[in-house]
Amino acid sequence: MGDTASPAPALEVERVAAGYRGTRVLSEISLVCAAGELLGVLGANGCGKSTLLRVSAGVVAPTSGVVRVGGADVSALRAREVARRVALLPQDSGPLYPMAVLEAVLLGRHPWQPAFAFEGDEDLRLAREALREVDAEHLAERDLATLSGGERQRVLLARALCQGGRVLLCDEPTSHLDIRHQAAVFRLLRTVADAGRAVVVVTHDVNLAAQACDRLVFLRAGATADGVAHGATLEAAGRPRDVVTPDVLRAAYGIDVAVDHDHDGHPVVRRRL
Amino acid sequence: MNARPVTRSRFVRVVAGGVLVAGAGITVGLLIGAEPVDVPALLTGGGSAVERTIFFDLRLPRVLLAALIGGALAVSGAAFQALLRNPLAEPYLLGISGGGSFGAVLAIVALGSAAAPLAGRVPAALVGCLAALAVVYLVAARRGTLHPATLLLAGVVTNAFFLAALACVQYVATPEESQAILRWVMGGLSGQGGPETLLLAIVAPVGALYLFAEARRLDLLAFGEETARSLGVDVSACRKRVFVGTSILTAVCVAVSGPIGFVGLIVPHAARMVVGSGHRVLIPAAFFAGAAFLPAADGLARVVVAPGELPVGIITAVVGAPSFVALLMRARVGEGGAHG
Ligand SMILES: Nc1ncnc2c1ncn2[C@@H]1O[C@H](COP(=O)(O)OP(=O)(O)OP(=O)(O)O)[C@@H](O)[C@H]1O
Ligand SMILES: [Mg+2]
Repeated sequence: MGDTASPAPALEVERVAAGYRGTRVLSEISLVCAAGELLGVLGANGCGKSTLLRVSAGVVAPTSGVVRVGGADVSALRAREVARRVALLPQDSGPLYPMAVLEAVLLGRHPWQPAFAFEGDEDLRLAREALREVDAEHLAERDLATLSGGERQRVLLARALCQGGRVLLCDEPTSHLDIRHQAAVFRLLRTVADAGRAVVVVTHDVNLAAQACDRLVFLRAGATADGVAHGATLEAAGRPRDVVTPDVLRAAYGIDVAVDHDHDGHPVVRRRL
Repeated sequence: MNARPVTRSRFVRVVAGGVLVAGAGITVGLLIGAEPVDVPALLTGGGSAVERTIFFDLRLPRVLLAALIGGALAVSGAAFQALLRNPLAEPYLLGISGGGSFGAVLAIVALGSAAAPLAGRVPAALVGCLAALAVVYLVAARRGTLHPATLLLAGVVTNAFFLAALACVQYVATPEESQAILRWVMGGLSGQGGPETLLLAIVAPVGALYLFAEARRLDLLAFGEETARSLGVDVSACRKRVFVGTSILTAVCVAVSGPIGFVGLIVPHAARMVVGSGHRVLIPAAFFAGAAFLPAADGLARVVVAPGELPVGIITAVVGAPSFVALLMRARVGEGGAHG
């Protein structure tokens, strides 16, 4: 990204409110993710993290506020143009019919292919490279439906990687992974960010996020007061060591925890049953 | 499982294979019939005048018509299955053909079956198809999603409704009209040719190409709405285009031949087993397989009870119903999975 020093951040969410059919999930959320940054999004189940990613990817339209990608208003762009700029790894998805892993990864090339295109050598090369990056090259010929949860998640991450674009949004990319692959995925996201993309990752693993991410944001779930639904708001945003505190975690998750720090100064959350 | 990316050379191979398969089915349809005809002699300019009439004026247009309708129904089925994210979706089972039949029957009764053959039936069938689609949607669409079981149920309800409406019309019709309606509702190509073949020769290839243009987007839709959107598909616009395309194709077929069931279900599934689920090869494969299957089935319909003739819809139902049960049982097994 270096030479075109654009002043606009890669991803900018400005006072966004959103919901589904009259319900309100998000209120007035603002955040920024710059190129080269790895941003972690945390919060309780159902507070609206996935919704925030959907809005950022232009999949769900905000009821108010704007999402900008590289300065361009997402709602003014065609779906295909958004897809060239923003890749989304959804929390849950799967094909209707048996589909080989390599073909599933190749779907990531769709925004770049002209109408009536067939898969070319370049597409195949990019898809295989993306599979290699997530340590899933050996799965290329397998049926996606027969993979383990973690293998599947890595494959779908590969699809998002080969989609390209400046912004990568990952919804719980490590939720089914073993501890080795959890670390590997976060290292990979770190590498992707260091290579110049803006990466937003939703996760429930506070400790891993605190180690890997440049900044964290905590959402606090909305509530209904006096019959009026209020959506989720930002509880805290900042460097991990500043925001991972007992107070923030109590507000975000409603539990009491202790926070220590490891040798490198990363916060470590300790829970008790 | 092997990964089978849709490269240009694979597409060409699938189309070439499809043409061969369709050619074989059409040949079978041309060779069999109640009246034995010496086809090689006819093609080299020989044969009697009667034979020439049977072959060139009756059999050839009808076999081509069967091929075009088979192809059109098969691509409609393939597109419906991706669109509704439901492997059991098919115009006939969803009651859409039933709606179209009702519309066409109204036209037959109102205009007289001889007076307004196609010009009246096609628009009436289209209105009927769209009405049925609306009913299916109203029954099945809850919170914007179409659950497989609900969708089938909606199809049953819609079918029952239009069958009842049809029975009403038949009840008040004259005996001759009633007989005509009955034969037509069974789905058959008896006595069809000439103008019908011409109509389908335009509509079927154009419709198939139109749906082929949506092929890559159908791949993405089959993966789920969120995935499709995030990979650059304008989901609602794409859905509308496919709905309109499949409805018109179905309506024209129904207006010509009456409802012919199960072709839209079993042919796409058979094609999927051979070429995989990528729609850029599945749609052409389904088209050519349908164009092979229906002429062969219609040939059978012409000879099994010779000198009489069965409606081809009975043949497709006899083959299709067991295949449907097999699919249903597979779908039930998959329902517990993460992406049923
Ligand atoms: N498609 C939808 N239609 C209606 N409501 C929805 C839809 N998707 C999510 N919701 C609701 O919106 C709220 C936020 O959901 P969202 O998926 O964004 O939560 P989340 O923070 O990602 O939760 P989790 O940690 O469990 O993934 C929830 O109350 C959920 O029930
Ligand atoms: Mg979520």
